[in-house]
Amino acid sequence: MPQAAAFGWGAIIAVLGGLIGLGGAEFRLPVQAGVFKYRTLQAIVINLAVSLVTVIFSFIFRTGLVNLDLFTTHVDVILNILAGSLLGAYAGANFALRINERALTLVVVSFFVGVELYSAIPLSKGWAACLCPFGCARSSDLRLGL
Amino acid sequence: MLGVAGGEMMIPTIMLVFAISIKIAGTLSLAISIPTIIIGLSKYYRQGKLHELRAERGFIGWMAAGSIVGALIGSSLLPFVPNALLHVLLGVILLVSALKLLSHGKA
Repeated sequence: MPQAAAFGWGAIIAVLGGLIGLGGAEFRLPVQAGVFKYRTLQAIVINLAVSLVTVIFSFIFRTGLVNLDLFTTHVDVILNILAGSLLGAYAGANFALRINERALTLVVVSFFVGVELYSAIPLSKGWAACLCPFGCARSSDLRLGL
Repeated sequence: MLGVAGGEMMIPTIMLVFAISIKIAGTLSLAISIPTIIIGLSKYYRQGKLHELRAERGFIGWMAAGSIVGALIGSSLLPFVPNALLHVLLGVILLVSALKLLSHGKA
């Protein structure tokens, strides 16, 4: 039953989203491509919509449970990262539509290589334990369109 | 671009750069993700891509409904989960993602 499968996968992925603070797109993409057989661009757009729901509700549930003073205390962090994120999301969404899906895959792979090299630099500072996953985080972001 | 808000990348960034605990970092990351995702979606909307997915709205609706339930479960578990476990969980997720990318690159 596809509805039940969609509901179940959505729920499982969102548990992690709620727990860690992720939209869960990186887990949903392989499921949409593998289990539900969506094409790359279709899966990306569907994923974005479901991520929005997950993120909004996770945020609502978490602020009720974690800390309500969050915005006043950390407004600088939010604005700082938001500025970069918004620019990136806008430019990226624009770009993904203009190139074909094969090229999109190539872009993702080459980004991965560059980002891994960049991530490796702080590793030399003895942060290996923390930054290994950090470096992988960046690469995982970039593989999601594959 | 890839339909991803980048939360898994944002959380370690917030933790390391601003010295904030993983639970707060996760919530901040969610706050940042909301406008980011809306911007991304609005781009696709203007290009007519959302319209093409009308046939899939049943699927999206069911998955979204499941996501709300899952988000509630995950968030409710949060006060009972120690930070250390979240670190491990995030680390494992990132590691698995990286390994998958590696194997995909070879294929």
